[in-house]
Amino acid sequence: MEIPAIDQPGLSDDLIMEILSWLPVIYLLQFRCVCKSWKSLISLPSFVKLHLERSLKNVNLFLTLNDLNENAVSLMCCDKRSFLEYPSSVISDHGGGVPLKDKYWVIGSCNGLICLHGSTFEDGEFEVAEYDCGEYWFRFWNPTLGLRSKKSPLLCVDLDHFDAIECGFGYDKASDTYKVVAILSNTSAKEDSERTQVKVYTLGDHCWRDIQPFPAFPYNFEKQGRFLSGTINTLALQNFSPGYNLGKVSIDQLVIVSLDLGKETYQQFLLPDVVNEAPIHNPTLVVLMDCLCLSYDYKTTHFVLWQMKEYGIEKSWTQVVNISYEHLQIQRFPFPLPGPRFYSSMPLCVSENGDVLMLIDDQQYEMILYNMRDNKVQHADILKNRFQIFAEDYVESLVLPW
Amino acid sequence: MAKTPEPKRTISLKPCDGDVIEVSPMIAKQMQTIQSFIEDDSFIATTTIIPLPNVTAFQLSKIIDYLNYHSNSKAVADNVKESTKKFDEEFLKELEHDKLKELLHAANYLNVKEVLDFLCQAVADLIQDKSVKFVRKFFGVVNDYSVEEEEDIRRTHAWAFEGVEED
Repeated sequence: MEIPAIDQPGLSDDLIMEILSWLPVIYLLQFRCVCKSWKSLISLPSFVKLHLERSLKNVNLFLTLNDLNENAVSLMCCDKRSFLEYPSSVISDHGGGVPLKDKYWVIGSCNGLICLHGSTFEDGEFEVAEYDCGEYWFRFWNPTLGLRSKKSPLLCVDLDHFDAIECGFGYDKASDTYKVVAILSNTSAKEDSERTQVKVYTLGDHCWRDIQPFPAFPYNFEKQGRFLSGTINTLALQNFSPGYNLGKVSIDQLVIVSLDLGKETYQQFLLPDVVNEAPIHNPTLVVLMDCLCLSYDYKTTHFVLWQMKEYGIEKSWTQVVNISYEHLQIQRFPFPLPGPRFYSSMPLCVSENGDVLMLIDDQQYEMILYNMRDNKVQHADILKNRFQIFAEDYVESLVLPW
Repeated sequence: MAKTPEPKRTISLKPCDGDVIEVSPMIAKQMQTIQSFIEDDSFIATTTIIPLPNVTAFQLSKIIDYLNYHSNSKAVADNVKESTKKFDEEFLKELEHDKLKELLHAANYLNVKEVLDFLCQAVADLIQDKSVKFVRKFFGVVNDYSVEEEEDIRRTHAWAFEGVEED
């Protein structure tokens, strides 16, 4: 019997999409000039989503470098592994990266988009007395594509009333939208109802919307909400009243308030159940290893890190680090100014295999690598006293910033 | 002590250019096209031979090899990961560009997700540091841009700048 010849047509668009979805963005930009149909295929929203799904596995870092000598801020993307192995090769003595104008600050990173926060004040704080209305705006930036959005509509804040703002940026899968949340707070307000106001801006909209007030009082040492699985998470104080001493907070006074970006409703989670804990310093909420993590300084002698292994499950809090500054080879001396501030170490990132934690200590702006498996400590001395560093997980994507 | 042989529990697949190949139901299940055949009530697995006019014996056996190896090595231990990587490399080494493309077609026709994903990644790896010319040739795509249009796209790395205003 004769073997039927197989008609071998070109690969279908679906298959080409599957193949291209595994490529880094840089090659996709090049392959737009293969032919017209490839160019339009690469810009299809369904392709952008498929590509993003694949890219989420390759997590890079987005760094904000605050040059302490030059007083200038620059931004860069880098490979997580090389940063953890050779931090000083990623960050040269001059910093490198894209300079950021001083009225901007990074709020968050999500699906390849960076949210920048701009204000009429240089440092984003309410310090300039002659203004009675603060103007804030946001820009969205895809550094891989080199595309940046227009300014968002202005968020005008009555400075007579509100004295702090905390922002978060994230993605709601159900509505396929990116949202910015701004939590305004007033420490001296007498009534609960006047104490906070929460505004939401959806990328592409023309205005800010009010949502339900915040259910607790924002504890904004961080001034940045953390995005994880469709929610913005912030530390907050329960039972706040005017005159509250923010410098002496114990762990049982704090909660995590989690705002669901889809439903725009809140949930509260308790922090780890630690008995007889002395006041803690600089409690910080971060996302590491795709989990909410809480770090703090304990008795100014230890750095402690907890991980909420399963999002929203209070029983899943696990202490992953409890290490003395002595072991970290940090000589801790008291903070020279009065107030609720102490020097502390902040977690920056964790290696892919979960072994190595990178800390930045804000006493001498030193980078410290702590291996959680074998307890080894390594200092990246070369960068000492040069940069204040912030890191966000970052993926390269084709997501458009508008 | 002789055991009574198990009743035949395999699926018979007939490629376009060779003898019937018997596969276990577990392997057949991963081929969506075959699976929908089997799920059809009128199909009696033990007697019917499923003809595959779009798949050669070589392609079919490659796909079965891949599925067999990977279904036996689901563990996550490092040494298993290492040998799986080695198997995958060897698997691809035997495939020239044309064969790779044809196998991709076959996997697509049989709708075997695991193999399809693997081959798509392999093709992506193959083209990712290649020139646009190579990619056109590999996919048999005709360039429909004018010289100016192509230059234009090459120049602008970003796709569009609409809506972006400078500060």
